Amino acid sequence: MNIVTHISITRFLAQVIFLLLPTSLVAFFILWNSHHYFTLLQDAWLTQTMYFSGGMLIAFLLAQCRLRFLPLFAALLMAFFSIYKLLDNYAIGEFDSFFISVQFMVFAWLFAAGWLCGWGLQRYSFFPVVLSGFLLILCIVLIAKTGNLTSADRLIQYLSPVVLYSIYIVYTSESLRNTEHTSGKFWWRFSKRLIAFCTLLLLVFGGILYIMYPEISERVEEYGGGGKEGENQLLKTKKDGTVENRESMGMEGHNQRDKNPEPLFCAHINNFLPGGEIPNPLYLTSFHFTKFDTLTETFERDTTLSFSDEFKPNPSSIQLFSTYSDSSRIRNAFSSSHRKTVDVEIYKKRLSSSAFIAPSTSYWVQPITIEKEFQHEFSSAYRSKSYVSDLNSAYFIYNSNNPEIVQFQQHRFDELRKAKGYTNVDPTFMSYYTFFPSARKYEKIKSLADSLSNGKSSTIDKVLRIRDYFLARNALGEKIFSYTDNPGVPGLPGASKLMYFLFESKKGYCAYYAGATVFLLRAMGIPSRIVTGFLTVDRSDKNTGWYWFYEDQSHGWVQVYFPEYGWIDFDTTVGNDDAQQSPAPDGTPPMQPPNPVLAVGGEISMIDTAKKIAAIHLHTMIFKDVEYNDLHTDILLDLKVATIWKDSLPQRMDQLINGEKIMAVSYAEKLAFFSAEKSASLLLKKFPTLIPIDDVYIKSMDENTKKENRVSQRHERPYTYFIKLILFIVLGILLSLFALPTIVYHWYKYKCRQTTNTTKQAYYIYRAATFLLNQLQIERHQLTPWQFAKQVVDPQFGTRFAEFMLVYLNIKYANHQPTEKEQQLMTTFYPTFEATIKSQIKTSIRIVRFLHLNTFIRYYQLPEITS
Amino acid sequence: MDPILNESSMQETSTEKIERLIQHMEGVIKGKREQIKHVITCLLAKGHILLEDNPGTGKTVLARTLAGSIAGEQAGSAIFKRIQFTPDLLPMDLLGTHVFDDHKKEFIFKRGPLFCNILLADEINRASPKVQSALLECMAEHQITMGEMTYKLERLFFTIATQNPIEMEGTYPLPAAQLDRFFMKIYFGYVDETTEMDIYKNYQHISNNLEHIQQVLTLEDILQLQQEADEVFVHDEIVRAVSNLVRSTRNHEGITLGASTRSGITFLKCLKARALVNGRTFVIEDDINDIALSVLDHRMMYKNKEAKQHALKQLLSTEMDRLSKLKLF
Repeated sequence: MNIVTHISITRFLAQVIFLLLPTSLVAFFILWNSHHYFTLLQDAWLTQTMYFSGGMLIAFLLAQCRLRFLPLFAALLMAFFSIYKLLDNYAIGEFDSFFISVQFMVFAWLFAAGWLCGWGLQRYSFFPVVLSGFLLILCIVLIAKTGNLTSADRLIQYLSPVVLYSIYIVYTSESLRNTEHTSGKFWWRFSKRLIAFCTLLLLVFGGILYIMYPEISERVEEYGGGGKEGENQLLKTKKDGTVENRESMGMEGHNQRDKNPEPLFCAHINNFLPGGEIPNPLYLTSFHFTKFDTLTETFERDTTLSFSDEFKPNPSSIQLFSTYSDSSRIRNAFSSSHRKTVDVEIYKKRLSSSAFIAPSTSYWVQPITIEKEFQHEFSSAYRSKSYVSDLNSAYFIYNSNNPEIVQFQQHRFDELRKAKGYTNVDPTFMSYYTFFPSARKYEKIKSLADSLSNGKSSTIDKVLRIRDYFLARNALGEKIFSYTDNPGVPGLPGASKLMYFLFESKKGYCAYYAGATVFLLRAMGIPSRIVTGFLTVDRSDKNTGWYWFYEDQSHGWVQVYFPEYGWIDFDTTVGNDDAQQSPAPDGTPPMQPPNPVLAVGGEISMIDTAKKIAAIHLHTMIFKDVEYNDLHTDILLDLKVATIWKDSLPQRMDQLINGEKIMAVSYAEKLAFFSAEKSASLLLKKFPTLIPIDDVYIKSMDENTKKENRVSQRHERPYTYFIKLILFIVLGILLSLFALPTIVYHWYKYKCRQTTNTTKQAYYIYRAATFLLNQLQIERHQLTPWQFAKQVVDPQFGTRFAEFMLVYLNIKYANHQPTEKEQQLMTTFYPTFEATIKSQIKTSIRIVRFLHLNTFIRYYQLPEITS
Repeated sequence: MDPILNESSMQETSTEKIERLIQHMEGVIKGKREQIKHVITCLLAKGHILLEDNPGTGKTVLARTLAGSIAGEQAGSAIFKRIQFTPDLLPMDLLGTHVFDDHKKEFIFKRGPLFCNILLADEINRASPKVQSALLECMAEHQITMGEMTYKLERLFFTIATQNPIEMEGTYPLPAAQLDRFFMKIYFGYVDETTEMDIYKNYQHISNNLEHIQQVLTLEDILQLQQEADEVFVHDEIVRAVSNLVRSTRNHEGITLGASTRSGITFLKCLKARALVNGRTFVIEDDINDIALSVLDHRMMYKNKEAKQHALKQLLSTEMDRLSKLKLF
């Protein structure tokens, strides 16, 4: 065949730019990705992309000139093969030339691949489909091979360029084929379409990613992580590096517990077994999970609950030494007997300053200072009070060898057997805490619960049966249930992880045991809930009452409600044989500051630095842990021995200025003699006129809190914020674009009304009328405005447009001053004209047409020439 | 039949006169209103017109109708002459010749057919270039020079030349310089189906009609209309548009020979006449749109067929768009 084809330069250029260039880019991307896995490629991905692109471009050019492909390709392959063989033969034993031959092989492969691509893109319309399919497969193979997909970001990063390219190349090659390239407007037309398509594609793709991102990332974390980069399922690390408990508890494939060997905090729990020196460590509670989301199998908080006894203050927002209490929590705990108040002090290291943990049921919190020597070690501290059951004990499954504890356990089971049934308990409370999901998949749990509770009447015995069920051993003496942080997930996605744990894998971490226990308890009709917080481990007997907490002590367990005894902790998680040891020996506990006898807060109203006396306008007063509020008296303070503190740094007395808010603290023994009174005024009468003060804290707390809040807000704002912002901007631009025709039309109309000059008025009426007609798609084509008015508009709508046009043209081209009649025509013309047009075109059609941007653009464009 | 001329016609406005003429001619030659308007425009602009089309499309009829409609000074109607151009035609066949008068013993000038009001130069492209140039010179100068003597042509001298498409055999295409002297070149074109049916049904009457054409205007009327056309107001922006259009033809990549300054002057003259024909005393953009192609197209030389099709239309449409969006304050 000797066909001389007409090669269009425009088309050729367009193909190179829109087809070959993106293909090269994707080749570059894939090569760059495969370097993570194939060392053969030698990290020279840029050169290798050039090989590929070169092959592609040459083949494309040759195919464009209709050169015979097969003989050429065969010759090329032959040449490559023989050169390679030649190199290979000489390469024996010599490393350098071996290297060259390998390099040549890479070149040959890539060049040939590029050659095929270029030829295919030029000659076959279906080739882009084949190519994109091939690239997708290649991409998936690469993902499978490299296998370091640890987050959704990585998956998106690997897959999205190829996916986007596949859609793009198929569309673009088809569109190039179908756009008439002889027209002078080829570039404009084609790029317009392409830009519209790409924008749409990116919007849809971005939208899908944005919406699906949490789910994708969940899936990837579940299946792709392989236990290597999991997260602690009970704690979350905030962006500022501090740690706090998560607000929901799910059951995941793995649980990363020992990320950081640094302790989180240190606590002093003032709880001892009755009559002894034996410490009875209590678990520290953070959140109560009372709800269960069947779909995601997640235990969740319920903040709307009216009888909640969860006490969740934010210690970082409370003034130093101020107290915050909520006694309704105790009432909601429904307990009357065997309760006592336990003081707990928490010294935080890495625990978030806003986190609050305490044994349940807590009701009181007071931020306290840290002694100077320990300030570099601990970030903040607070004291809290909890109304704790005598029968509460951390140990349920983790048995201690201490005989007194064994005895105590026995004692408390006996005591709890006396608990009454649930007949007199509030039915709303009961139904809430015994709620059991009605989904069919959980029916098996019910039957298990029935078999466990069979023959046991008291609640505690049923609880013990559940404990024993988890502790049971098989005939060989092996444990049936075991602890693991990597229990894996059921093979079927969407299958219940709880059921998988209970009946198949029989291994899991605390969330599984706690979850299963709650399900079993509720199936038996026992009100129960899950709480998360920290497991307290007594590791040393050097400092009794002091406990250190690490990340792996984050824990979830169960609380069971006993009438008259209240909520009691039970931990059913079986022992972990290869963990449960502290990563480091316990540190020295911080020196406890003495309890301030008196703390007064207010504004300085007078200061005398010479006599070291200050007067303050009193707002709050805390005397022996009792807070008095809404005080409005002035008192005098004796600052002779006082230290002034600001931001944990000692200050000179002249730092105290009138009007400054301070908190003054006294440890004076002579004040401690007084007993607390009902009202502050009575108390103040007893006090000496000059109240001795030991420490004065200048309140910079407010600012700090604000700053911290701001910082954490900025940190917690995820990158999705930017996507939202961009989406918002794009949406805004789109909206304003679509509103543009309407705005312009109203602007013309406004100009008509506003101007008094007849020439201008005529001009704007003319513009408004032609704009309206154009936007309503009554096209002028190549008619002159007057012809248009006379031949199209007036016959179609019955308007007097031509009449107006004549006046307008007269004014325009003959500087004619309109007569009175013409003046009148001008003023009355437009409203009637607009009304007539509007009455003949449906409102819906009018609205839709006013959204057409291309019609709008056409108004300002040269009309197209039709021959 | 009495001529429709009466006293009342003296009070007629020029617009009405023109409209009457157009309607009258339309009565004879059907479906050609646009072409008639063009012819009258040229007549009022004191120019000449070239009609191009295949034989038998009614070119001659149009010319004869026009001549017949005007009441002239002699013989009742305007002097109408028709010359059929052939390759062997000589210039003196047009201009006239000096003949020796036996009685007076001197050469007297025997006037040729050019001494008329309306001249139909049929198939002008079949005559030799010599004859063509002789005619065109007269058209431009309005006078004939023979030897020492100069003879003035009639006050109203309007040439309607016709030519067959260049592609036909045995023709001498008019050179660009000579085409330039025609104010317009229009294509006659075939009539549409209904009109054609109508013509077939009444074809006998056509020749009758031609013989009994009513005279609707006098020669004086025409001269007065020419005067009025000259006084039509032309806005500066219209002049600018003409200038833009003419100048842009010189820079267009598809046009090898652009329009001359003379063509610009001609254009303006035609615009004025056209405005009057359209019933106005001022020129508007529509006038430009109506005649631009007819005035300019035959003066251009194009690079290729595509340019011939599009170039001028494109330039015109750009200029029209500018005018239609023009703010004159």
